[in-house]
Amino acid sequence: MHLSWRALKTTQRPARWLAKLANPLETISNPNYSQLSQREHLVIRDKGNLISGACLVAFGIYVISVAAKLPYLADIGPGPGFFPLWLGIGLVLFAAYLMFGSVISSAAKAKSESHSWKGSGRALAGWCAMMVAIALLGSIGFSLSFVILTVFLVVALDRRPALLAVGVGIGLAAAFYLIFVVALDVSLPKAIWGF
Amino acid sequence: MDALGNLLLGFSVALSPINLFWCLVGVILGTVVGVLPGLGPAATIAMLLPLTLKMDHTTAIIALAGIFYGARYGGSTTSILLNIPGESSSVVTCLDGYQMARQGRAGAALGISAIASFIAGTVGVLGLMLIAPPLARFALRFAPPEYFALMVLGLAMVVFLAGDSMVKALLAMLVGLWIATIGTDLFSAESRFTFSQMKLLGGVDFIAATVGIFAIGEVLVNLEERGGAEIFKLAKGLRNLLPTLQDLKDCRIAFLNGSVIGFFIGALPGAGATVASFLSYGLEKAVSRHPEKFGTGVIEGVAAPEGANNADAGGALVPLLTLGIPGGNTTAILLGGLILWGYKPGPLLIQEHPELFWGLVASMYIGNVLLLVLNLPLVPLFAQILRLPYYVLYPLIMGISIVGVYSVNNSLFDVWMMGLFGLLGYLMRKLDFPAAALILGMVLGDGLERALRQSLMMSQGDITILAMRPISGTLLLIAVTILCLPAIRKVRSWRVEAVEREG
Repeated sequence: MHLSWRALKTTQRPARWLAKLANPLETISNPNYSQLSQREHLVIRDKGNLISGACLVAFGIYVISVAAKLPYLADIGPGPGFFPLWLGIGLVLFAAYLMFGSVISSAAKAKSESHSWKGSGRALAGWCAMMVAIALLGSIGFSLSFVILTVFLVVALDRRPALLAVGVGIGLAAAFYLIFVVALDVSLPKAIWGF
Repeated sequence: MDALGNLLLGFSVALSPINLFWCLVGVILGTVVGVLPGLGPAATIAMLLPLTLKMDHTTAIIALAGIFYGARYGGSTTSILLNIPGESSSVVTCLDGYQMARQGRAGAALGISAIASFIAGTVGVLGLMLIAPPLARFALRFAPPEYFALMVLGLAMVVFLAGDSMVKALLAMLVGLWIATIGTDLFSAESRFTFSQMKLLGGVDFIAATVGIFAIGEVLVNLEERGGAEIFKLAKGLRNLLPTLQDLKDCRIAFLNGSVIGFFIGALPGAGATVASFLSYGLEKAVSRHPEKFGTGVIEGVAAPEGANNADAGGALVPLLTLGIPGGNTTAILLGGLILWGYKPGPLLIQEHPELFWGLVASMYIGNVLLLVLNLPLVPLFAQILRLPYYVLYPLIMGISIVGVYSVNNSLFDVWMMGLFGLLGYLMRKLDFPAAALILGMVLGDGLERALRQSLMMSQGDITILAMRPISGTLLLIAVTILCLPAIRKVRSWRVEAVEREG
């Protein structure tokens, strides 16, 4: 099996064969398979699959590299490197298959399966706000950091009035304090002012 | 007849006012503990154990057991309403329970959870009463090769969690197995994948990971769009807030499945309610007439795992009371309690202290009734949480998650980990990687590796030990068959398409 990337670009037959290998079901179920153009064969079904596959391949290689430094065998039986090594190999193989499978033979199918990342900015902003609140837990305590988080979520992300946000934040923080700290005697991160 | 007579003795003990009172306290406390992520029954029982030294011993174990199985039920409430698993065994309930809540059927999900818990809990108690000694002797035949095969069978359930892409499910499972390797290797004390962090020497906290992936991940997905005043529909009218007769009819196999699997898995020391809930869910999906609907809000997907994790409580008491072998953290603490009070758990416990054993069995019947009576009327109340506007609900979910995770070890590091897993959960949703498969790997990874290495040590490196023993060989064969199911289905569909094309 000789896979030349230049040949893939210039000739139709290896490209078709490569796509055929990537998606065996497609070759059987699509009666028009042989009529599809080279470009259609090489359209990436999902950039998400390709990128996540690549990341997982890299991750798998990292796992293998760390596991290889651990003893594979111990005095009696497998060592600490045994299990992670095989996990890493599995990760690399399956992730490579995922990357391979992201090359499709139908552009229409690519459109229907593509992920929508619209709105991810808002989600990531919310996540960053939560991480900042976690970072502040140790210094300003749970109650205040939670109020700040709530105000951000309600005002910045949802464009609601600031007064409403502060009210919701203080109300929820008070409820947490009463239920967890007072009633259940669960300790929460505190600031110098005691809550 | 002997068992019946003993059970009547047990009821006479359990129905005394003081024991009834403490049974009620136990199940209420257990339910609260189960609802709040991070506060597990093990920690609660450990905190209350010193107080029980002053109580009558039968009363004490009735109260502590009430916390144990009450917590199993409580964990399902936040799983269904907020996608926050209150306990590790409630993770699977998130898959369909939360989807039912999104479709306006939160009440039905909570109700069926209560009913399934009651039925399975009753089956568990019946099992404890009738077959505890022979089951305990069977459980003793489980050595490392059998545990390895059981873990592999559990991992094979990934087939039923896969959704559209088996490859993605397997990758998620492998990542979960990798996460389970983080920390100190038990056999050699080498640290693995700790990134020079002392806090990771003990591994990744399970609650931090699951709360992050499920709860935070879900909030982040919902943050993408600015929503309306209510994020979920809520059915109006009490009748619509409870399961219908059709729901009960649809779940009859699930009740049986959850009860039997939960009880038998619970009787195996170390197997855990989480394994039972995954196995039960997988089996229910396998035998369902509409497996493709699982994960989208199918009521059987709630009934089966909820039944399993309650029947598991009865099963877990089997090795504890008959052999003195604790099955997990909670039963280990109960064992500590029994020893502190001067009892010797083992084969002679039932003969020497029948009032303790049968009093406990009877109290579990009563406790199951109390759980149903307490929680079914509260279903409409719990469901009202979903009427909260989303700008209150999202911060509430984040707050509960932070508090719950922090309360486990009083560790800010765990909260950081929850945040990171939250991002991972979000990305997994966006890229269609099933989170349940990752959790499955995390839950089973440690036990799987330990069992494998112990088996290879036993056999001096001969791997055929795993297949040659009858129980492990049978379990592995079942696991391989399950793993081959997708390929078998694909070949069948190719044949059908080929025939249709020729026709």
